Amino acid sequence: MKNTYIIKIEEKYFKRLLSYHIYINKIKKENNYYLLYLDSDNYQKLNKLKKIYNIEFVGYKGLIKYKYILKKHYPFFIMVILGISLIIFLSNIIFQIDIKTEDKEIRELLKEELNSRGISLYKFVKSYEDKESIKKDILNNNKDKLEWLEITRVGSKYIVEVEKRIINKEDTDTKPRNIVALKNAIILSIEARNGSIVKKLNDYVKKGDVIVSGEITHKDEVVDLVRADAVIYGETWYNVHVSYPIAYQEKKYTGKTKTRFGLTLFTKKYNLFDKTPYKNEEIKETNIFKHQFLPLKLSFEKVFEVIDEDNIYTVDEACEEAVKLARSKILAKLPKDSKILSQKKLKIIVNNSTIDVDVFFKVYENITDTIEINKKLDDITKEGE
Amino acid sequence: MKKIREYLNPSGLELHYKNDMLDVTLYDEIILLTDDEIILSKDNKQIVIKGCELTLLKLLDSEVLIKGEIKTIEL
Repeated sequence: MKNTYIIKIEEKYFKRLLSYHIYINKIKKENNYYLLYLDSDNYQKLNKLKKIYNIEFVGYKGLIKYKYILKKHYPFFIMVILGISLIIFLSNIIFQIDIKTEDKEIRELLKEELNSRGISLYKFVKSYEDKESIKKDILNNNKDKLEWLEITRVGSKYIVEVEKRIINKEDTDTKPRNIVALKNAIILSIEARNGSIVKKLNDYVKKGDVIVSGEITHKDEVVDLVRADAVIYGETWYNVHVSYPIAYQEKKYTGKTKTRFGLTLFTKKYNLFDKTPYKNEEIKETNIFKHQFLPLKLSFEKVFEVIDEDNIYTVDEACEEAVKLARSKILAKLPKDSKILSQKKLKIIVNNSTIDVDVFFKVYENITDTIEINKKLDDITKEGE
Repeated sequence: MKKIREYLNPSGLELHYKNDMLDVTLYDEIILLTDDEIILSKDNKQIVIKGCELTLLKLLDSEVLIKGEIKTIEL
């Protein structure tokens, strides 16, 4: 496209231009002025007459127009280029590594392995080939611990899925052993698959007492040593001490609501168009835009004003809450297959601002433990003689 | 040969009238430019174009495009 300069000149001056040998590619006559389309040389000639003939520059046509726009708005274009570069740069940085396993040991192991191979926070993401090679390398180095490993990149986040290698020792280990009590308890259930049961239901056992023996006897003589296998459940006892505040705060809705937009950048959140935020509020959030790679989110929020109301429990109420807390404490400590059989408040002390409660729990839980028999059958026989 | 040279490098004045526009090529100078009369020169001879609301659409070194109601052209 040919570069063209457009200028405006009054009708009365236009005719005078003829004497200057200025050539015009296109002439457009408007009301009482002319629009002249000139090439660069003729524009330069005309520009010298600018002051005499009241010539007004209107615009450009052709490539020079874009050159002019670039020159005029260069800070904007620089910002756009910088912005795009920044987005590309940030999209290639690791902002999160999500290792999907409950096993703390495996998690730490993977963290270390990934870190040593350059996959850690705020470092550049790896290429697909590198990532696959790292995955194979980690698996090869930890054959005894890891069964399967997958590293997936989702934007600036790595999701690490892992399957732990379980080596079933029970199947391979054939050493004789006894089943003993893990703690003091009353036996409630015995499920024996191998060995000789030496305790009965409702027997009281102390920690370490043999419940199912690996020593098989015949007429008071040990004739064989086996690997006892059993699952024992028993009644155990716990004392839990809980201190609970008598005064408490209750969240109440005032009924005032409003809507606004929220912008989240990294971990910082900005409320848009909300100059008077509530002192205490509860937010119901709907995402409008959430960047797949970057920690950037725009959301629509419905905001409810809430107030914290100070209340005081009666002794009974506080006591009830304390027992609930004690229950949740004991349940958090116990394995999943355990259950509370009964509970009893032992001691209640009411202080100025708290109530102290001691709660006694009877618990149904697995009390199975194992102990290997290190002696040989011959030694036991000799001891008997 | 003379015809070919003339075709490749024309030297004479040419007037083409098409779509209510008069295209004049290889003129020497514009002597007068008004709404109803335009006078051009070529080799010290005048070409007088008369009409109404005459305007220039193009003004180049050797070509001028005239628009308007052209009534007469005097050579």
